[in-house]
Amino acid sequence: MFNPLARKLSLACDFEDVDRQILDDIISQSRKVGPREDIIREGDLPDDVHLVIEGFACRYKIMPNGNRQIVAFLVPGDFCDLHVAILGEMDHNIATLTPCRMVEIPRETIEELTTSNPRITRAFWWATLVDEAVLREWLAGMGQRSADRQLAHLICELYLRLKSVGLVNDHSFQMPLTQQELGDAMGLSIVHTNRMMTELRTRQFVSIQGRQIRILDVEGLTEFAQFNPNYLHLKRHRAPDEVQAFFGD
Amino acid sequence: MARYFFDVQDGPDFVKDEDGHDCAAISDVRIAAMKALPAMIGARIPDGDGYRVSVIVRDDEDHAIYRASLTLESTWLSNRDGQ
Repeated sequence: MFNPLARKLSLACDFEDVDRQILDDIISQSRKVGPREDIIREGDLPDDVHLVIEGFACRYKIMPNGNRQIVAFLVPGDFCDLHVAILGEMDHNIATLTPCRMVEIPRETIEELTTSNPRITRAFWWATLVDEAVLREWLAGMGQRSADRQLAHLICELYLRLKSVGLVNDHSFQMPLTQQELGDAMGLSIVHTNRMMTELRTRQFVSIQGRQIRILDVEGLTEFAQFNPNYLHLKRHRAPDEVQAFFGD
Repeated sequence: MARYFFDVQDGPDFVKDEDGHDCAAISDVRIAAMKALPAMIGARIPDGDGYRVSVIVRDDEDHAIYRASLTLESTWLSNRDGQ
């Protein structure tokens, strides 16, 4: 069974068989959700934690003038709202962008796991901290990066995030996002986003075929974006006892 | 709902919009073009004393129907030449 959650979380933790079984059980009941459907709205008190198994979703806020700011793209293996197990009321909206397959995990399951399984708890904690790190990077980019670098940076990020769950094939991946959606995530107008996308194509960093994007020049794109993948925490940082065990040998 | 193409003349660079996007009303064309301009000048400091960015909109029959431009102008007011 393709389990993007287990695949993603195993970046944070060495799981035992029992953990893998739990993570497989968690995703055994999924449901299909159509594109552009709200999963949870601001103010809701959800009973379940949602997880993306297939497709793209997003977190967003609607401003008083009706404009939308997308504050996160959620890809397979991402929790939409792990924090609701603790925070309760939603302070933003979550919607699918493409057709998705989602899993609903009861709050009680999450609570039970956090008291009974330290490895999975640590991995959940890791996932939440990485979400925060991504948000910091987006904030820094929106404030300080030029629009072309911001778009290049976002493409590098999606490339690595999708690669970590096995959804990149020969530098190609599905990026089923409209220019409006990309623009809403970067705080750019649709005309500007289109112009920046054309620029990245003209410089031969990427090619786009429908919803498929291929990175033609990984090094060039990374350098142009001034992309440092450290914030994705794809490399394992060992826990102190593990470090000790490592040096103790 | 009709499709419009938003070409950009960014200083010396002309960038043709191959994708276009749908606008519900003709007034949305003007809004989309104007909204894009300030950020496209953005934090750019041009080499010379001026810089101009234009958005030229074509309809789905390839007729140019609208243009909006934003010009950045600067000049020294005394004898200093900025060197």
